[in-house]
Amino acid sequence: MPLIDLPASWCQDVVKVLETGTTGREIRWTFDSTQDYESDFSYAFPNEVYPAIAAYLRGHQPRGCPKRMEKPPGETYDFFFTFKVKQAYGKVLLRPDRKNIVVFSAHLPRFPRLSCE
Amino acid sequence: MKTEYRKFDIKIPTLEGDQVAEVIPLEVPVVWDEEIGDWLLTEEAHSLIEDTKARHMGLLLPHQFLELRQRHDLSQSGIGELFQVGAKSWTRWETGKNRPSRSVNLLIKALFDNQITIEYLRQTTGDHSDMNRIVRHNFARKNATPAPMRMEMAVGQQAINNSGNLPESEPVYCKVS
Repeated sequence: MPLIDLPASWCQDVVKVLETGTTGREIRWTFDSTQDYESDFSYAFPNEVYPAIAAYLRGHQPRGCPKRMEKPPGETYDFFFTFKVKQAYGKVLLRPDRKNIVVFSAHLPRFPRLSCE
Repeated sequence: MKTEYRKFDIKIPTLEGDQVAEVIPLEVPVVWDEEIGDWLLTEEAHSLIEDTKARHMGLLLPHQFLELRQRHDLSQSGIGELFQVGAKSWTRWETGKNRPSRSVNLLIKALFDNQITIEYLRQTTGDHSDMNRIVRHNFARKNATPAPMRMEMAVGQQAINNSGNLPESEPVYCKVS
């Protein structure tokens, strides 16, 4: 599956949650994603990455890969974005209510390309 | 909902931020989310991690921002103006929704620890509320003011301009001894 333009509605809703949500409530992190973020960006707090992700998703033609998974319900995409002048890898789930997200990944890229490239 | 405590390694960065100075192990609560099929951190876990990290980095905690503002009997916009950040930023710091940069935090912490006074900060960073009042007052009187007094006002205005209009690109530094 090739790299796609991330759906505008998905981007809009994720950005809205990032801008208005609270970490641990509307913005959930898995244990592993938090630990990975902590390892790669020890000098940053989790909420510092939200504006960077939002800026990428609001930018011109954000691109990424859809992640088809048996669960969880909702839409998940992964993408590269810039954070603290470094390329970072993000994987975010927008839950079916479109008011909650789960950050599955926000860390330095482990691979040079996204899964669908 | 299944909850358990897991060991989380908090990495305290060096001042340069490029290396880890210290690793603090901490037990944090996580919940099993059936829909997600994974362990998620609770809000309390995030607070524990962030507060521990902030403390070790010498940063103020959210309740300390509130305490500082109340100590000086200032509104959120008043103290925001003092640090030239705006009420919204200050509100976010008080609620823990966001944190200031380390350098800004250093300045705020200096005030919190009484290493600098609020008066000093007003003078140095330019709390122009008094000056603004004078300018507004002078503007209202401008047409009715005799020429000699207008000259005085012009000199005063120049002084305000000199002290008040710092270029945005140049941050104001406050030396803390």
